[in-house]
Amino acid sequence: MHESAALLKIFRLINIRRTYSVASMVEHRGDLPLIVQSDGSLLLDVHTRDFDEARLAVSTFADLEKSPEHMHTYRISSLSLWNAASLGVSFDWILESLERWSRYPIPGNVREHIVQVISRFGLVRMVKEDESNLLLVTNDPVVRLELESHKRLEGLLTPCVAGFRVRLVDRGTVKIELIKIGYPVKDEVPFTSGAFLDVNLKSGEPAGPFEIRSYQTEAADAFSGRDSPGFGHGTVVMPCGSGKTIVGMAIIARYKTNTLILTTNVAAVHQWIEELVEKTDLDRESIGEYTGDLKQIKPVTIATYQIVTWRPSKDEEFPHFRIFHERNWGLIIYDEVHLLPAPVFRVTAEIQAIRRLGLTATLVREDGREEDVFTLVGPKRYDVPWKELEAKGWIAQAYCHEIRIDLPDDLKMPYAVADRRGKFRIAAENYLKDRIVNQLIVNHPEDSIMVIGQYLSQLRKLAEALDVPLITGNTPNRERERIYHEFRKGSVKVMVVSKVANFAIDLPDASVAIQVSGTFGSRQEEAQRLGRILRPKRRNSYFYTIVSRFTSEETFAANRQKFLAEQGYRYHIEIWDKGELQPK
Amino acid sequence: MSRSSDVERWKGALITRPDQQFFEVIRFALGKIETPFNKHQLLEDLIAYLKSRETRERILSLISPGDAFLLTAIFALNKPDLPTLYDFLKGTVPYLDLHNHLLNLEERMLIYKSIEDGAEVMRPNPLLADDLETSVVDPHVVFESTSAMQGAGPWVCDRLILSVVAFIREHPAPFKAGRKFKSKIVKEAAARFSFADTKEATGRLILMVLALESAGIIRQADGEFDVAHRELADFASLSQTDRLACLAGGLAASDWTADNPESGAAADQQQTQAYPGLSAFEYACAAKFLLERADPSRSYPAFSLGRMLIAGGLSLSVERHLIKLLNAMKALGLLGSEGGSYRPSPLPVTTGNGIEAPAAVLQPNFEITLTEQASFARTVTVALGARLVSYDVCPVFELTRETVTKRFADGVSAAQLINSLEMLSAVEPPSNVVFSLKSWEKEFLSVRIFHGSVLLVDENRRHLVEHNPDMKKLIISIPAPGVYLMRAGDQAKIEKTLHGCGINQKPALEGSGSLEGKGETDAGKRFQDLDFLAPPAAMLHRRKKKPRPKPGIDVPAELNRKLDTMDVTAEMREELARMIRQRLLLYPEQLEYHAASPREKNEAKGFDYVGKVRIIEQALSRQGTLLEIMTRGTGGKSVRYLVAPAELSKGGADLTLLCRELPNLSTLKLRVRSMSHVRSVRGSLFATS
Repeated sequence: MHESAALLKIFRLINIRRTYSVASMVEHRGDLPLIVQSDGSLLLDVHTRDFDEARLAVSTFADLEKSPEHMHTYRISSLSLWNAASLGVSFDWILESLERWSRYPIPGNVREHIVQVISRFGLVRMVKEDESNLLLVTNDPVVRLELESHKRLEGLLTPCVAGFRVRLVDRGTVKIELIKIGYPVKDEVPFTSGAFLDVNLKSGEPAGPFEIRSYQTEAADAFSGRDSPGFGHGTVVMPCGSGKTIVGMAIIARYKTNTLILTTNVAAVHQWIEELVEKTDLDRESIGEYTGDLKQIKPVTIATYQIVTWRPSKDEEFPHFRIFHERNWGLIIYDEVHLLPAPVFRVTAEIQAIRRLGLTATLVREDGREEDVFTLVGPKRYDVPWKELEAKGWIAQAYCHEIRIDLPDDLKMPYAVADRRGKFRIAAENYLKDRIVNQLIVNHPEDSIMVIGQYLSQLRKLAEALDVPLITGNTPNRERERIYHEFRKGSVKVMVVSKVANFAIDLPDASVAIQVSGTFGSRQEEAQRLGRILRPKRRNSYFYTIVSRFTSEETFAANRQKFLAEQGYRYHIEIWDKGELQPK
Repeated sequence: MSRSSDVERWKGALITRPDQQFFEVIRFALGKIETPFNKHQLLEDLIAYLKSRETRERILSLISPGDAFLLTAIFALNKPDLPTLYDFLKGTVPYLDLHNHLLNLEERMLIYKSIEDGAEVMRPNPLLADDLETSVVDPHVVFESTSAMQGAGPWVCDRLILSVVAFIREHPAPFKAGRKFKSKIVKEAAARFSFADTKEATGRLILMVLALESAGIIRQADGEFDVAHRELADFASLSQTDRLACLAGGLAASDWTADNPESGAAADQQQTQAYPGLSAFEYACAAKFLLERADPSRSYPAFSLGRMLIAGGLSLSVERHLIKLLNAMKALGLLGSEGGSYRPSPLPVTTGNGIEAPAAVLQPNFEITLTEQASFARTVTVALGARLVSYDVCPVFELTRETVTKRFADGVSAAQLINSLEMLSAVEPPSNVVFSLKSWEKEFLSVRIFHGSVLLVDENRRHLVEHNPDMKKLIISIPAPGVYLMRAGDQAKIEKTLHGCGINQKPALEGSGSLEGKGETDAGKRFQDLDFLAPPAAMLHRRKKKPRPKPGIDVPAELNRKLDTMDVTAEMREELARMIRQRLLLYPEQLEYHAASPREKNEAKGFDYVGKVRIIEQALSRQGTLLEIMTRGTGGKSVRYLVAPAELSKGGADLTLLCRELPNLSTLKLRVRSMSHVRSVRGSLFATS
């Protein structure tokens, strides 16, 4: 048995040996938009006539990696192909699409990879056996042999006549392991419907508070597959400010089921509640808040990741995991899914019978677990370049500026003798930045301005100097919300915010963000901060980053800047003279 | 040159022969001639004879496959001398047979010899050349090949060269001992170069590095590689084919061998000592010729490719050199291999002829994607100033502070770089990129080291140097603000400490000279000469030949019938039969003439000691006459020599012939008694000595 499995592996290895023809680029059709690289990446030339059509085709089976100004990069991976296969896309269709749009002949190895990977989808299926067990079935005896002998699956599969028995709680884990060994499961176990909840969006109403946008409907459709089998779980990637919450609510309304929403912090919980109340016909009483302060479980419950993953000590269980089972949930929404904490991965693996929606602007995880998100929560169902929404007016047009300022003389010596981290902090807290902030505020008298930073001491000084409110992690929720309210009303035009502003705080009227310091080169943070000002409004948005010149801050700023450039933003860099505070 | 001038040259070659040889030629063709002789008139008669349709038809009908082979070789080589022709046919025709065959072709008026530029060269008879060229010459008999399925293109191409240059700039010390990549480099190579697997990526990369180094495009100094800028500029000015030829030449001239691809082969050293290696340039010329002339739809044995090179005037004098070149070309994918034969790979499309079209896409995230318009010359600046992100159908590079700073160290300014990028992308570079390049340049110039011991730091960075305790230890004195006198020899330490101060880029080095200009070789310059090499071998691919005109009569049969009716001695009959067999005679009348001519004994064998001596003495007295001598060696094995006799001297009870063996002219001493057979062999009709 083991020998057969080994032989099978060798056979596959021989087969997947790639035949490259990178150098023999013998013909090309220069006006076509697509370049298929032999590493599976797809370059899409934005400036070609058929770009839009090609993008639509490519996004079905490849993931968008970056979308800078001229050439977007998508990537074909096993997962993206399996996701496509789960939607019923065949390799013939993929190859035809590539042929149709490709400027050069498609490298042989890519062609072979697509055929092989897609062909493996459905070799293994998961079906329901009874209330507590599932069955893993395959018609291929060799595959069965391999699964039986695979170390990764030891203890997870119990051989039986029909195939392998899988405990319900191991559903997600088995799927992850099978993906890792190259057998994507065609999961045919139906999702539980969950307890019914009569909920509708107010968007269709004549005097409704909002109109659902076409791309939001597309995203909801992409997730639900209009109730086709194989849908009902997945991740939607949309820029900050583009209305991911509305997509979430549209999906709740579509399934009309009890829903658990997990989000990043209390402010975000409240924001969800407000949005639900405002944009759906749910009454406040049907919405529960599950946070440190309140432990309500209602037909729609919003909890923080923090409370869910809290436990008295490291060796104990997570008591709040019970929330996943305390109600007959029909849908779980993971807001800012890129921040999904590791314990939630575990519990998510156990609740695979429930529909799952992940929402994020930037699926960049520092721990590299993007694949796990796709496997456990669900594949990427919808992704759209930021600039595309900007072009259509769905998010604000943003101008990114980096302002460089010298380090004052008295900081030069401390900077010179400090260690690496110390140097960064001194540069980040350069007090001359206060004057730049002041000047920028003067330059934007009509705008609502958010000053964002990393270091509390710096932020406190700034808030004091500017005489504006400061929001940090320690600001009581009530106080925080009061400030937000004032800010929305316009009675507060400027506020200083710590890194709590990075996630899930919706400030509809902010049109200028001034970043005075950040977490080294975090691309995630940069994107989230930009997102604070992307809500569409009548005026353009401005994103300023102030950086100390000739310091290590420049290098980190370049990293952060790079990420936004990859979303299609142009950066304008200026040097400001410390004396006159005017651009040079 | 026109056919009429060819005829004049041929006439000149004949008429300048000594009378005896001249008349012999004339008589051979025209039979008995009457006095008074008018040599010019005789020549005109000979021309008329050769021009007559019947004569030409008879001559052509008597051409054997062996004749056609030799005549094709002479046409292919375009007036070869004897050593070249022999070299060309090496291994297929023994020298003695070649000599005899050429003599036969001369006697049949198919070829002649003339002295040109001091060398005795063979040419086809201009009166028959057109007929020969159209109906006899067949390139495939000398350049043997078989039809083959066209293979994939080579894996090496301009885009790969650029990518490797960028990779090496980023990783200047990629090797550990034994010319193997460090494990980090192996990982990097696998990640960045789209080849089948890690082994293929590293194997190919090593080949490229060896080839580029050997070709002089990159070089090592202090254990680190960098590009030789002047050579690279020259290299960039070549065509893609020439660059690939240079790489093949470089690899062939390196210590790489197909048997031991990863490093210089010790086993090869012995041979290297025996045959000094060729230069990369010499190999490159040969590679260029093969790339341009060999047909990708044919598969050639090695000797055919060797003949092609000789035909192109590019002889690789030792077979080992040819094999080395072919192995190098095969390793680079420029030749495919099929059952011991070689199939030229179709060359990658040459790109980037349209100067206006953008050759690269430069994006605000600092990435540069080379487009199909990316010619090598235009984009070499990208390879020198950016980091390779991925080598693929369209390679992607990225401008980073480190790579750009290296470019500044090369002496290129930010303005020049920005200008190049603008030219390449045909649009104004993104403002953040422009700003960064200028800012990096300022940083680069803000810290400089002169002569390894004077550190100059601009005002805005002095605090970093002056307050750093480690740096303070290295400073001897501060003669002026921002000028630091350091201990000589501490340069490496200074650079490291600067890094610790927060000055991350390498300082500009001045006064000590940079790699550029050091130890320049003329490799690149010489490679430029490849452009001017246009070897004449247009006939290599000529396929079809016209059918030969037929005289309507079987000439040998007609001659033999005539001979049967003739009343001649047995010895004469045998001689005339030999002449018929050798296709020297065309008409029955010629038999009568030759039957009436006195014959001179030209061979002696067995116990005829006196006869052998007489033939040797006759040969010694006639300029240009050679001897074919057979001796019995030890063990009774007979050995045949073709010799030019020099002297016959007495030694004891025997005579000894001092002679020089052909073709290598080695001196021999042969005792007459040991000779079992001696035959005088007439030298060329056109021989000068």
